[in-house]
Amino acid sequence: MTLLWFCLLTASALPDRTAPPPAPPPAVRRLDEATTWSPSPHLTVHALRVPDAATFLLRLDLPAPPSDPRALAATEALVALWTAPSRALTAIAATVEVELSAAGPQLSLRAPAEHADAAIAAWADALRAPRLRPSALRDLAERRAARPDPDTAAAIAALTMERAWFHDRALPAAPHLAAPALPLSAADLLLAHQRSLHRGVITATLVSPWTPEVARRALEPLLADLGGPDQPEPLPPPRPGLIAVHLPGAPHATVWLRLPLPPTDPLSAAQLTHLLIGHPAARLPTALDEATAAPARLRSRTELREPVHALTLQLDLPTAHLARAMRTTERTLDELHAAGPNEVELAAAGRHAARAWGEALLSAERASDLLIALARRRSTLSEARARLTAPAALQAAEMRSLVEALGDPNAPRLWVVVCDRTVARDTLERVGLAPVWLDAASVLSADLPLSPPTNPAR
Amino acid sequence: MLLASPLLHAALAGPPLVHTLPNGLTVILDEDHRGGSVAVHLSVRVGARDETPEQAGWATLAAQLSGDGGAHLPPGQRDALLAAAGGEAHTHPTVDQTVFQTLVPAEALDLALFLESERLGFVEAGLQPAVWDRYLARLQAHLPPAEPGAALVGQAARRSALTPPPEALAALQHPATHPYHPRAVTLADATFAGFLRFWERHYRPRAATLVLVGDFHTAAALAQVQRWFSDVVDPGPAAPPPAAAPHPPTSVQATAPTSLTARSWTTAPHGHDDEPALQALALVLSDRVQATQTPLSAFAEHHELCGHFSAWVDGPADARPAEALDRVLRQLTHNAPSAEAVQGAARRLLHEEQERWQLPTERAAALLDCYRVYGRPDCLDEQLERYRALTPRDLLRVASTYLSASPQAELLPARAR
Repeated sequence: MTLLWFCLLTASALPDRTAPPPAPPPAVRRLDEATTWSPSPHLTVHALRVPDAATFLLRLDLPAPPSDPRALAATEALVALWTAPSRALTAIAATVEVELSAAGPQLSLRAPAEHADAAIAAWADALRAPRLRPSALRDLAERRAARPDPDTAAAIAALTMERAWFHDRALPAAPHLAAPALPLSAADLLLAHQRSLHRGVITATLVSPWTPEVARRALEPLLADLGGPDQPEPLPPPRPGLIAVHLPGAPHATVWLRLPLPPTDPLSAAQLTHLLIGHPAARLPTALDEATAAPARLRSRTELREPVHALTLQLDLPTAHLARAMRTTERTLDELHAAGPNEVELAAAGRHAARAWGEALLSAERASDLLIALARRRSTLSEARARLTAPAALQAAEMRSLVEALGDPNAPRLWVVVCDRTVARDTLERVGLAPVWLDAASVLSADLPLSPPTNPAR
Repeated sequence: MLLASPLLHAALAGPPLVHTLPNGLTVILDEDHRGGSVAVHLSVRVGARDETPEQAGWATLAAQLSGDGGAHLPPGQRDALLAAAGGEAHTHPTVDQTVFQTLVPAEALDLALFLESERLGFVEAGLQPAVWDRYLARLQAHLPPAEPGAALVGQAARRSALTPPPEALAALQHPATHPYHPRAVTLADATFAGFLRFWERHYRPRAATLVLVGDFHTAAALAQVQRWFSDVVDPGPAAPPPAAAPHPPTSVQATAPTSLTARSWTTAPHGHDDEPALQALALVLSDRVQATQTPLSAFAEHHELCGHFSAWVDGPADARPAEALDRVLRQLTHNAPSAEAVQGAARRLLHEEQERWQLPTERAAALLDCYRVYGRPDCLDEQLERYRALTPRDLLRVASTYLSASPQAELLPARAR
């Protein structure tokens, strides 16, 4: 009855549509701090308690393997070993996932929270004594033989970008497409497995309903002897240029642009991408819309894991607009560098970050993403919150320093364009960057004889 | 159980409230104070099934136009206002409904309601021929190739080789046999007046449901909804959807480069008793295939009109991927999977739903689904029970019922290898 009266009283007035209603800035919620401990000099654990978490999620950041092709190939092959379905894990709906990047592999164990103990026990067994089925190597070879043709523009763009940016040093982000067919024995694989887990500094992050004491006790058998004293090799500096990959019949052009970022905290990086491409009224979509009058599909990926700090913009658009879209993107970045973000952009990015912050603990995936991003930066949740609640001028200064880096004339910009050469050659020539043309098949064969030219426009 | 945690119970204020406004708009409110944001979903019962073949893509076009201004909102203003408030929006036109999803900080709920009430009640008044012309020009500039197979493959080719192409297959299975998105042939004869009539038929409060999930107090939020939608006029009931036309089996030979072989069968509509078993079957199939390292997978989706079970395989012809697909499917239609496999699949589905429903946007979508299928939004726990009750016999039954026949749609790779 009270509800009814309240509704009747407050709903009687007609809305005022002469102006949109104001939206006050969102509150930045307080989140409980994660617990950090180091079971060994080579391993740090960050555990975040989410009392009503439905999912238990444990992630391990492993260092990059040595840079020789054999070690890279073995690490890629390990994905098959690490993610091979285990009956014990499948029965409790637990999964193991692996993500490869130039900074090294990341292993994730995900399970329903009520089966966390069983999942840890099963995974500890699998990591301690991996069972390489007799048919595993044959399966791996068959999987390579059956790997798909180069018909996925985004996968080809990713592969080309990783190889060219890091001089073939990078682990492929799309391993099923990338494996060089080096002959590997079972012994090679087991050795690579042991080396992966026992070299360099490992960072573990845990999101679970457990208290810190319970988490510490539960993880001990799994993490006890991980990590090792050796340091990963430094990556070579990235190279600028324009690489065009010919994909016959490609219906559109897929365009990737990678720019180096300075080491920065993940919330600032997220705000940068938000103001650049995060919504339809953001800088780049607006500029592209004005320049081409055609919708482009826009995405971005930020990598902030030592030693890789980069922003990759991804566009998918009609090939006819290719040159105009690339020039518009360059110009938008230069304008942002010259004038900096405006107050409206900064306020919008700040509010978006505050909202995302509040939702961070609603899923294990989001909580883990935030936790690991902060752990890689050796930062904490309370420090991150302090940055979000800092005076606007301080937040603006942080963003301006990032924008400075994006527009640095000495910073390399690497373009990768995947398109049909017969349709795109003329338009691409108009960009003025002297593209190096490759065939999609050569990208897949891991044979990139690249010495990408210096970008003459910069 | 989803609500087993006492902390989660404390954060949620009780079962969702359902209320119908005098103009016919149904409102569902579900209070959850954990995240500090609110999901505002406006569902309008208009989709591809409401189009005649001459109107292919108009539901999508209407959804796009509805985001670009209104009587009290200059063009382009909606996106800027939402971004400035820290919010975001997505539009999902499907076969049988169009859902406008907005996620805002709790402080911006009033703004979100203003924007959605403008969409439902005042866009038509603000629609100008010039706006219509601009949209047509943009769509025509971005149209997929006219040949349906190429358009289909264009969608599939942009996806990762191991990712399902459900939209591609759904395009084959459209009840009016045309894809969701506009094509040159249908836009060439489109008139502004004709489009306005389409809009008037479908964008009505009685054909819409508004769902709010998140950080608000139910009584206050309901009052806000009542205020913002009180001047949205009720022009009467919306037009009933046309009867679905029988759809002959379709086979598409890809012309753009792809190595995908995909097959799809018509199954049961959303809410049918067989839906959980079909979803578990897709998981069991994918798991079984994963164990043999074959790049092959399966996907079950369910709409109001019908469902589809799709399986696809990728790889060069000398690996005989299509034969591998047939072999696995034959096994599934003749032999029940192990109890362990079914239990694992059921647990995974259950857990995925529980995890998903923690997020306001996903929970709003789930409540809307419940309401559309059962006429009430509180069916989530029942859905979980249906997964828990699955047996190997259920999976064998649905496999032999739906997958023994010839596929409804088939996508064949482009090149002979």
